[in-house]
Amino acid sequence: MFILIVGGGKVGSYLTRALLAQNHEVVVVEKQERKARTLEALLETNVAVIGDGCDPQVLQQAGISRADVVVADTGDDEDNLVVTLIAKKHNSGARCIARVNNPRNKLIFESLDPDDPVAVISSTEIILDVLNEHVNAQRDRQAEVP
Amino acid sequence: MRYLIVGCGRVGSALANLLDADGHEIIVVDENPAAFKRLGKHFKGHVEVGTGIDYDVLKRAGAQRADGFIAVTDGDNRNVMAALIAQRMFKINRIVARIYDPPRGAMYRELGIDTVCPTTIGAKLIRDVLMEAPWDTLQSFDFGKVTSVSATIEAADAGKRVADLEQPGKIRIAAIRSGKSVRVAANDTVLAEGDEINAIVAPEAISEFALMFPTGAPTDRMTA
Repeated sequence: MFILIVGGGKVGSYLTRALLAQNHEVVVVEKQERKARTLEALLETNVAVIGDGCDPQVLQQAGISRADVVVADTGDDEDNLVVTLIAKKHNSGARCIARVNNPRNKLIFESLDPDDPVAVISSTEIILDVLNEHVNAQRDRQAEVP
Repeated sequence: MRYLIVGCGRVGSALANLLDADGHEIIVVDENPAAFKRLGKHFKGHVEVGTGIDYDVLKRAGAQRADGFIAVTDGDNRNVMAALIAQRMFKINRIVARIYDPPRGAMYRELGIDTVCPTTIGAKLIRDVLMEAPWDTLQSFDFGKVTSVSATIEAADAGKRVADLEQPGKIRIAAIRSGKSVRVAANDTVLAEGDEINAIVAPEAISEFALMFPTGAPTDRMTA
């Protein structure tokens, strides 16, 4: 599969390494040249496109129209939203995955295309869920003590 | 009306004061509390500290009761996201976002968000001032695909009919002001020296229009 990743930070580089190991074709769009170079040096391949992933032209150059999956994993919710908007417009068949920091923002991403909803990943929410599970388990255990 | 403005920069604060002076209820949201100093001491509206791309912040600011929403932070992406939250989660009808990048403005209009692009408007105004154009750009529609301009009739064109100055599909004279009276132009309306005409001009005819009215005295420009 061809996977287009927007955001070449830590999440983007570990993701790229894992996907390349699974023999997928990967392109990473990264705004900062230094980050893009670091990523390429680390992975020892030319996978980076330097440019603003929120610019439709940059994403077209990176091959968005033939992408099977588009991943928006920058650290800013608003940037990931715009990447998703562009992906939905230029490649309605692609599966979209977006990272959000503010769990409240999930609804907005999900409202973009109700027929083919964006997969929204919120690490804040995941941590909260695990925490709540732990808190509830503790409470249940304490309740059991006679 | 109740308007919610996100971003208290130069434009946001100026707009807040304009709408406030018109008697509207204004709430301004900005992450940086120091930004509210720009509102000045005459501003009677409310302020809310926080980011405009957070549901809870907008709810605290009263977004659910707003009649209109304006996103004018310095980030295009932030403005579109704030506008989408206003549209989809608070169901606000009138939404305007400032977008600096013209192609992206067009994309967001498809989503039902009205956009204003200061890049295009600013460039046109600067061109007009630079060229000392004797006519005023009144309004541009759809990124300058059609522009409304006004110009003053000089002695050379006095006695000509409206149809003599028009060009099919390029220049159309809409209204004429003679002294204090304004009327809608007809093909055979005869123009007099000093008449002020208001014309709708296609982009390819703008420079031609400027050549047709090269010496008119600039009136109050819309450059402020």
